[in-house]
Amino acid sequence: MDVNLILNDHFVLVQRKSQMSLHQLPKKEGKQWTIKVGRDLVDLSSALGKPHGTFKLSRNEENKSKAFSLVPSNDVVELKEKLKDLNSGENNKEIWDDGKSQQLKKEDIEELRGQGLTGSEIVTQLVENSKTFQIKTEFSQEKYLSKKEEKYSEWVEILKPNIRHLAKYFHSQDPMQILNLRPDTLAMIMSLANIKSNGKFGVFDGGCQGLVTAAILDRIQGFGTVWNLCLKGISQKRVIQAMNFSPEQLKPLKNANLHKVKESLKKEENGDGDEVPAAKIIKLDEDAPQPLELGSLDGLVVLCRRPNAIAKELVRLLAPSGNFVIFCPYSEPLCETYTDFRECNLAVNLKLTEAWFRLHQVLPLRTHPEVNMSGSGGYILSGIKVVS
Amino acid sequence: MSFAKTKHAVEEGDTVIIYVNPQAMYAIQVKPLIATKKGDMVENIFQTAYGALKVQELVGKKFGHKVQFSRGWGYLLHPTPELWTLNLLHRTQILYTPDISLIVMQLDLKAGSIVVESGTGSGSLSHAIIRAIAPTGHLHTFDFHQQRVEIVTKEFIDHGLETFVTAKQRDACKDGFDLEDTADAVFLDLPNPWLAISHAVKALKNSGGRICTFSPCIEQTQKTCEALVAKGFKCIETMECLQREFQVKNITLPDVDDYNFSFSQTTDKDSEGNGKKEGRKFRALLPALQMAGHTGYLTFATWPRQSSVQI
Repeated sequence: MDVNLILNDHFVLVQRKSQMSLHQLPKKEGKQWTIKVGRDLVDLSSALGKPHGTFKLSRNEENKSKAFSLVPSNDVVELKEKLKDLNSGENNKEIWDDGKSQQLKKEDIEELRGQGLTGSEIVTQLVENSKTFQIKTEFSQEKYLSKKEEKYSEWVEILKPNIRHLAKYFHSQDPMQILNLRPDTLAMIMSLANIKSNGKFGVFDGGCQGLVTAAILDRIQGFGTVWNLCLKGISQKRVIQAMNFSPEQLKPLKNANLHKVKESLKKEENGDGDEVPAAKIIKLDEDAPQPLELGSLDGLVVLCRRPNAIAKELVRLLAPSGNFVIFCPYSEPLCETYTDFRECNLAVNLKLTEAWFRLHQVLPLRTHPEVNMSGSGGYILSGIKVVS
Repeated sequence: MSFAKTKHAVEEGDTVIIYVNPQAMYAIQVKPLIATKKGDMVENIFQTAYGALKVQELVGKKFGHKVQFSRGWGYLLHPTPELWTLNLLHRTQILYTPDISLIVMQLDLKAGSIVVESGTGSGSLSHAIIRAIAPTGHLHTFDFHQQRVEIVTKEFIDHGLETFVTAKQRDACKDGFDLEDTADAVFLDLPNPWLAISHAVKALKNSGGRICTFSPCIEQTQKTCEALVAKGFKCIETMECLQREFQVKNITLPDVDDYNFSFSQTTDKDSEGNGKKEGRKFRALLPALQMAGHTGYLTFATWPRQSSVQI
């Protein structure tokens, strides 16, 4: 099964220009699956069996379905290239934005859609029916066409989900669904927790949809252990599912209900653990999962809105000189945790940080930071556990 | 040795971190003897503000525990790429953890990735790349400065990482990487990265890959983006990241009498916290007064799967 092909039951990311959406293909082979890309209906199942990549929205003449089907394509034509021979102006001195430049009405455009015009043809119509297009500057025309392509581009990318795309996607959809964990903050967590293959890591995910667990599983590719630490039965796992992990890639993932871990540790303490039934001794071999013990983890990540009591307890799972990262969307709880750790001499190199992040538009004669930026991406308390 | 594998106790030859406080940390290689400037071998004794440490006595000591100096103590820490970045000997300007972590994530690095890096510099980023791609990946790193290549090669060996990395002396812009259809990712930290784009394309896998360039100046970034567009790279994004650090301090506000005023006739004398010290105390999150404001612009792009590749 080649994972570079679009397969049933797998997740894919569908991207048109800057718009992205996450979809799961039907489990059952042969079932049609239609999705919405902007205002267009697209038959996603028409891409099954093809490699991920660029697809063109095509009308199937035989199939009178309203949905576009997807055809692999390498001939992406940018509208600014197609329409570059038109006139352009010097500046916006004569242009007045009264909302009346475009002579086509909403209904006219809908009719053109209904007639089966391609996206490029619709935009050409919009340009021809614009009173101001040919007096706009070249840069202004490019910007106008780019904006139209967001809605009308005939090409989409069908992408294999990876952590970089999913982190950006989930954060842009609804930041608080992942506790406002911005992608660059996620990148810092991966470094500060010293995530590496053949290590033992623990993640307490208090509402990040499994994003960090998925990122660790992706980084270690089957080498090592990732304990999913939970108090309640409900596991955060949406991102883990979206990654289409293979059984080998999922092998490191182990669930640990902290209440049960507490019980088994108590049993060991009371000497109950010594009485192992004969049948169980035979079963213990190298492949048997090692139970989670205090002082055993190389790295720990805690993600929650109220890290206070739980973070201090979970750090007991870390080995001495182990790295921990506590992430919280709010700074005040982390102040408490910072003070607590300081007073108890639990850790060294304690740092409370926030990541600052900005994108830049780099175009000839038009380079500047992007106009919008993220105001916050959560806070991190990181440190190294010590035995004082 | 201890970079490659997590250990609980120190063995001879390991590089360890001695931690005194956040501003005083030292990377030490545990050897019984050390060479003086003249080349004589003497007992390896490390001096700190709290006294001397006989380095050989670290053998067998446990990581994460205290270590004694003649007039005080510190902590013995397991090395990590982050601690190495803060304590390595600078031969060039280096990259720090915020940029490094963004690079590793945006290049989609994972165990098994093959990476090309130029220039190696002081090996700060190299250590983080190796951590991400081990045990099945490989880093090909290049620097045009012979001595820097020699120093970093020795460091990789000292740290037990030599199986994961090949360091070579090479002028990437002129001579390329001598690699074809090999790399999942290419990282360029050069004065003129646009001159190495064609070489990067040759080194990248025909099935696709990622590229990153790091440039302090916007002009370099502009030239690089133009070259990337012309060559056929997709999803070109330029970004920058910084880290803001906070102190947590208990603040006591001055006595309210200094600020006791009201436009109304009667002055409210019974306001909460009036004169009481407890009401004037709060825990503050204080950003540092000075912070790093710029390191460089990071440009990432995707080299798409070439049509010559059949799946």
